[in-house]
Amino acid sequence: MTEPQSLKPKLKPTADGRVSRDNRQTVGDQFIDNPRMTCRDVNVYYADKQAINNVSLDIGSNEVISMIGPSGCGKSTFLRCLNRMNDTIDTCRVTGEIKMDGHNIYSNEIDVVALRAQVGIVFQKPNPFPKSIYENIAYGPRIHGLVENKTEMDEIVETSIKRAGLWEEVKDRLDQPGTGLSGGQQQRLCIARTIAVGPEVILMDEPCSALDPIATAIIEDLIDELRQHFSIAIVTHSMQQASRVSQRTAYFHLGDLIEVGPTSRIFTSPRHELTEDYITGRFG
Amino acid sequence: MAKNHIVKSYDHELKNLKLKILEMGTACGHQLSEAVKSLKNRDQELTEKIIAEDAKVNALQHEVEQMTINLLAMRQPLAIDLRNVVANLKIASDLERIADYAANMARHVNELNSMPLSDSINIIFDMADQALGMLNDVLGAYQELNIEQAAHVWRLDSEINRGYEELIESLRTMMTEQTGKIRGATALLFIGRSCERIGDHIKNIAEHIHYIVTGNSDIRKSI
Repeated sequence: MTEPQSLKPKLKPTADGRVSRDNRQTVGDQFIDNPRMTCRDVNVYYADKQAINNVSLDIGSNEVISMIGPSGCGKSTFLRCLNRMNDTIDTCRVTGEIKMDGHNIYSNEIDVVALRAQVGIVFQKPNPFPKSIYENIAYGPRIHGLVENKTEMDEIVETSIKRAGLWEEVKDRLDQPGTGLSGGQQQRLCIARTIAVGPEVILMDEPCSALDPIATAIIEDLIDELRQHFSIAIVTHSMQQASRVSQRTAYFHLGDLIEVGPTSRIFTSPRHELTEDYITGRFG
Repeated sequence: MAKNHIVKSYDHELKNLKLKILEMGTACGHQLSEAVKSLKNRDQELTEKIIAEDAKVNALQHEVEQMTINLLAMRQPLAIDLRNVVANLKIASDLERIADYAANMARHVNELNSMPLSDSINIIFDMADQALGMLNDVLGAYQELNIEQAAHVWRLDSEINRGYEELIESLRTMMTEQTGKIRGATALLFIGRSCERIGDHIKNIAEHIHYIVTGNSDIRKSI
């Protein structure tokens, strides 16, 4: 599926066929067939400062899309637009259109709490509630009214923790505090908590940056399994992680979406010089 | 135009790899020109030297392999750096084969003994000159990452192939008319075949240069 590009300068190819650094038009496959979410001409402002410039991008079903770029490029800001987390910032203003299942998530009719159950988020630092492991998972289904009795709740708790690959490690101590788990286990607990309310999309904002390599590998393996049930958008500073876990990669630079494409192509033959500069360590 | 890496030692390692490939290319050119000289002069001492010095090119290839393995393991190169490292590994392999064929030429020179020069041998001299020029040009294209020059070299291989066809025809006639020269003619055929294969490996190097720059090894798209 192709759609017209917004009114940005025309592509200027270099001698080797790449798009030169002074170009800010998105290169690659922003639009896909059967997307789970569609974002069109999204702009984000913090007071007068524009943080995201006219970004259009589709999030596919059952895919992991990674968002990479230097600090301050807007990748986390864009991710947080996808479940309206930016609403919590008073000076933040979002324009453009972000649709899920055909509905604009910024419409006044949208229940933001329900939206955040549909589009869950996992943060950089594991943030379990100061409650038991069981209660960490049970809290969401309870406030969203997803269960009618204890049996149903037990089933959701067990299924969610199993899907997060944590069951064998915690099944005998569900009444223990979630905060007593290791960092990697806490992050998987947070993923289980997100899964428990039945999301369609899971957003992950640098989910492994506080974890050691083994805990990171376990989360990456989990992401690969979760892809069968959910769409996943992940922000990461690790290009190796982006290349390991995602099928598509989007490169952001100073608020512009510079390039999107299959991860294997982005990391072997990027089309934009800015992408190449960044992933080869020539940025700056 | 690629900028320098933020980590300067990474640039230094890539530059050393490039210098090692160029050193290998120069050694191959020397081996090939010495092989032609030994053919012209029927110089047995020189042929033995060429055969012995093939080991030096093999050792250079081993060094290139070690450098690329270290770069892959320590730097985890991506994009143009990844293409560069992988292509260098392949270029080193092609250069090593070129040196092997130069040594093969020298081996067959000894079989010619005192057989008088025929017209056929002039075809070989032309092919070898063409191969030497192509090798020189392809190393220049590699040094500058110049895909136009690489494409030019790539096209020239067809001239060596034409020379080889002409050589075969000429040697067939010779073997039919002068059966006593079959042994020498066979040696010339092997030498010509070596030149033809050297052209093929130079053509491969041109494709690797194209891959480094564009990410696509199909050089015909740039012609």
